[in-house]
Amino acid sequence: MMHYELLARSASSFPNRPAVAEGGRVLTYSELHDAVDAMSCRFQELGLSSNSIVAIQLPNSVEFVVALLAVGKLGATALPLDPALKAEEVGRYSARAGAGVLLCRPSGPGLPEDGESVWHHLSAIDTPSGGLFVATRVLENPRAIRDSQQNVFLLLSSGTEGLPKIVPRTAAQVEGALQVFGATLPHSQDDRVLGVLPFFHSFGLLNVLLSTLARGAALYVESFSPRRTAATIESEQITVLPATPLMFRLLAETDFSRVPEFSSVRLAISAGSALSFAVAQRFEEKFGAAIAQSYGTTESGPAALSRTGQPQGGAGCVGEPYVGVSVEIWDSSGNPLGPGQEGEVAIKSPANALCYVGEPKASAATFRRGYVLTGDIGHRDKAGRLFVLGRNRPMLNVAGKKVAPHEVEACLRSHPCVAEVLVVGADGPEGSESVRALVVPAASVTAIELREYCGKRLADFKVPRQIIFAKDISRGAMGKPTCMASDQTE
Amino acid sequence: MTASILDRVVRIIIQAAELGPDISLDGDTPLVGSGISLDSVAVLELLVSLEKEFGIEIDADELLKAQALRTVGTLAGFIDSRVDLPE
Repeated sequence: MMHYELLARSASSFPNRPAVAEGGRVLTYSELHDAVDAMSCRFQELGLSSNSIVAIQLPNSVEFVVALLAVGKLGATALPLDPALKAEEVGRYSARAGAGVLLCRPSGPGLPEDGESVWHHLSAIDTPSGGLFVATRVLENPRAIRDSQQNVFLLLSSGTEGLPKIVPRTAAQVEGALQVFGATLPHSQDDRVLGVLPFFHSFGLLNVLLSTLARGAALYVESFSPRRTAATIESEQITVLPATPLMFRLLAETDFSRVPEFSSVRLAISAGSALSFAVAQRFEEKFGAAIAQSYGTTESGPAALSRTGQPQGGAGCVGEPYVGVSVEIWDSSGNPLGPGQEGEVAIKSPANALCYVGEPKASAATFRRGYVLTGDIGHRDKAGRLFVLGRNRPMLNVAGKKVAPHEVEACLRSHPCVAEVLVVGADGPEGSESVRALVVPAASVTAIELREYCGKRLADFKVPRQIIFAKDISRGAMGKPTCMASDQTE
Repeated sequence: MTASILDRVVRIIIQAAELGPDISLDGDTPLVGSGISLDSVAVLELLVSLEKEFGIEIDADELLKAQALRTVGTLAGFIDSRVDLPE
């Protein structure tokens, strides 16, 4: 079923229930349905059709929801883009995806300065952000790459290596992702779901936005900011709180004169990157809500779920596979391995994508025998729990001795004062490397203490020569994209 | 505005944005869009750090409305207006 039909179904079942709210303004299901139909008509007048590929660069907002569903009603393909991307990046990704149209705010950072594009200002609905809806840019590269598969979305993924890849998503795969999520985490039309996870992300799009609208629940949309978001959770009696580890950490770190009441939250769920025990613990102590952790990739959708922030399995445990998802550990030749054996995490799900756009080589390496190869190293225990140890990365060469970065990371991560860690090689003399660790501390700790801790548990040559403290690894001091577990890519 | 507030704001910005020691900031350095180009995550980190440093509550919307993120100086001015310091 296409996502527009999910909305239409909810609109006929619950016309007067709240669908989307932003900044105090609420649209009921029937109002949302009307807004989407009106926007879809405007798109048609502008010449868009089921053959169009439409880039959407909007922050989480009512506009995003309406634009996405209106594109869906046309039977066109949506390419959601990070609102932070600059014009050059938007142009590059749009060209690769074959998008001929860009929907964005008139002041968006993705606007080109060339002045050559044609703009149409649409103001179909009176949105909380002022009534002006989106600007449509007709791009000059309408390279039609739509195939017979009827992709409903094209999602950007960082992939296992190299430049971001474009993952095509069919209606059946989207429905698969919703089924997997709904079967594992039952939810109802009475839920009030917070929409702060970016909607251009796989999890935010499928498991927050669409999953909420498909079941007729209410979505409270806003851009995250600790005090405002905490106030929304309390005043709107939010029941489902999906967020990134960073958002959970900032909520836990903010000093409230009165700690806001989060007792309405029945499910707090972390997605987007690895959640550290330290952050989960601090959040739970402060707000009384345990954080579940979802592991998955853009290519596979949600794969494994740990229902508490401190899974019983210990460090690296990301829980059990979602209902309907099969997770295997493969050796380098693609043979499945047994419990306790370390290898690459492979995922089979009804939500699995089948290829990347325009990258046969990367597609062949990632999509094999119906599985998605994640590029993560992990193992499963006898109880079936999945452990993710780190990225499948080259070993560091320390004066001829090989060091696995994820082994050093696992050691540091087990230290109570460490929230996040990334181990990389620093260039040394004669092609040798030294071990360098980027550490996000959870509590006050010195580099010397961490080195002593590692020295008791690891051979000396594996102990990081250099420990650099950082606030956040995903945009760490190395200027490299993150190398944490691949759920960062979702 | 007391000089110490500007100094403290500069120190917090350097920490929150993880700027290297070779970066020098003054009151006229732009914070977003150009200059040190703080991204949205860095702005949130900065907000939480400033709250802790000065013992105040800052609302992100209020910060935007006051256009306090234009430069280091406007941010320090915003903080100054919110802090009661014994002179």
